[in-house]
Amino acid sequence: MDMKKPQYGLAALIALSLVFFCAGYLVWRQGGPDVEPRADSADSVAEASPESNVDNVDLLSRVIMGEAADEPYLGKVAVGAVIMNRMRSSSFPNSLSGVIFEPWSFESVENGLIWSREPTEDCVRAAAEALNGFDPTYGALFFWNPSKPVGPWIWSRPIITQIGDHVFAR
Amino acid sequence: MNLRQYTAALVALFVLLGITAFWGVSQAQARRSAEVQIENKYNRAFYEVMQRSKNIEALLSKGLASGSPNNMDNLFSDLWYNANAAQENLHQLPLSHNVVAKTSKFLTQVGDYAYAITKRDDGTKMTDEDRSTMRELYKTAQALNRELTKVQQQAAAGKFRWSEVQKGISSNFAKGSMSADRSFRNVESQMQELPTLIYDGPFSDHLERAKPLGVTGKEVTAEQAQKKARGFVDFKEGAKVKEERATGTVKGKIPAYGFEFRTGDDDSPNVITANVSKTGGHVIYYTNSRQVDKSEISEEQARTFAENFLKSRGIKNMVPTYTLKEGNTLTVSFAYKEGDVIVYPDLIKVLVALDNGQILTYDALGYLMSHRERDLPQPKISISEARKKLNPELEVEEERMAVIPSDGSHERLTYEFKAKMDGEDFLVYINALTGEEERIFKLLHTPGGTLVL
Repeated sequence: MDMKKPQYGLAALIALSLVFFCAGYLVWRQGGPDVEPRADSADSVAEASPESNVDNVDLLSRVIMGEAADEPYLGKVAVGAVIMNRMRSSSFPNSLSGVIFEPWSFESVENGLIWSREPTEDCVRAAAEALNGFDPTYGALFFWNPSKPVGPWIWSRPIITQIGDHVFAR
Repeated sequence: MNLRQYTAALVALFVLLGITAFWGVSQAQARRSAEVQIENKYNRAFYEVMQRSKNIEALLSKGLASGSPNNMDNLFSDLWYNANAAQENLHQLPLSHNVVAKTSKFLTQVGDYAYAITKRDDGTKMTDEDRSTMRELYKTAQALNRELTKVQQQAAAGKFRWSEVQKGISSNFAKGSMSADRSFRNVESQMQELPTLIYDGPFSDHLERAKPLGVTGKEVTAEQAQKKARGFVDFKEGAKVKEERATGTVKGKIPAYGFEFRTGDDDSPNVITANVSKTGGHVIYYTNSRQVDKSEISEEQARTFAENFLKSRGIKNMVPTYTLKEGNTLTVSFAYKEGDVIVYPDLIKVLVALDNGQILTYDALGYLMSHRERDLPQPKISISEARKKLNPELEVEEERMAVIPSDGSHERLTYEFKAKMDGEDFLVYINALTGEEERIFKLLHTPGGTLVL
């Protein structure tokens, strides 16, 4: 290679590939917030049928995973129970999907986190127990982490109990 | 420098620029079209709420003017349908919960009120009370529509866009001069708390204020309650309690003490959480976080474990009603049996681990809320008379008496028939006093157990 002659062609090629790389990366990022295809979704589809509540358990366990992955087991059941209680409350939608997909209700639904992680075994058991009517919160409709910033109006709610890092309120 | 090389580099640069510009423009277009679609979706939901709400106002007004019970029937089912549709669409709008809560409650109650009246035993006959409730609802519906119209005008005038508020809320800043949230706040402030409506629907107010009837006895101290919990939990032989602590009080429907026990090895401890009522020291629930990896006992054996558990804890007269298998666990539901009558509201659920039969969860909230000495009425019709009320195509397999919960906090004494039709199983409940068919359930047999629909 002759070092005296600047290799403009080579430079242009490198620039081109750099730009394409960047553009490609941007396009990939636009595809959605870190949502990756689920590997084992085929299993859960196979089990789902109108005669089972596998679909409900799956949806609920995803929200539990998104909202309470680091909470103790009872804290997971409690988050599921709050969703069940909302269905029975007059000021919330009265279906499971209505409650879960109500705008601004759950952070992990808003940012798509519920679709990017497979729920763990204990999230699934917690969801099943909550669907079965187990309610360690005694009718709570709200929960939040007191060490994180939340809207001021939420503190006006009567607190029932604290489980793990979440407080539960009516 | 070579001119040809220079030109080539320049051309390459322009080509790159062109590609980037093209990409940028198409991205912007895609984004705009996605935004318009979202905006349309929200507008559809909003206009749906408005139309349904106008229908509600008209129907309530017609109801007040109508004198025909037959026509009222139609009005009420229309009312129920419109209220449901309005509520459903309201919750699709990108608004924070505190600006739609009261409106949502109003819509639920309108639907619930209409539903409850059509469900009453004596048919759709309006009492003076119903009429005054209806007048209240009508006034509120008028106020709601006035406010919704203002929101609609602001939206149509371009003062806010639905998809814009999203950014506003998530960053906790209200951007621009107006947001949908703020616009809707006026609606909410016009929805005064309604006076307690007197009707018996699944969403009526008095249900939230229900008193626990099964919590009897003297106040207990935290130490007594802890001792009670320790003796109650199924630790399974050999499992040492490593740690034990009080976790404070619980201000639920039943005021309670909370306790935590830890068993198992230190790497993966099993946490058992228990709540014991302050009055009487009843264990309301406990649950064990232990994971069950395999099934080694049959469902039959698991049910026996559950039955023996209740007996050994002094909870008598409970019969298993149905079971549900979920993973390597089995949930067994028990109902209280008074004489020959199954009392479904007095419910205890027990979750059994299918590896060693340990009771992982015990939940007696239903039992403690509703159990009491019941003065069951004498049936006015016999079981053979009740059987004649069934659809003749049903083949009865089992029959017994049962108390079932009905809308509101009422209970009904019924005859329960387990029957078959076209190879499918049903449970039919005939009121033992009136002979009316109260309820019908379809039983679905799945690998996990029987589902009741």
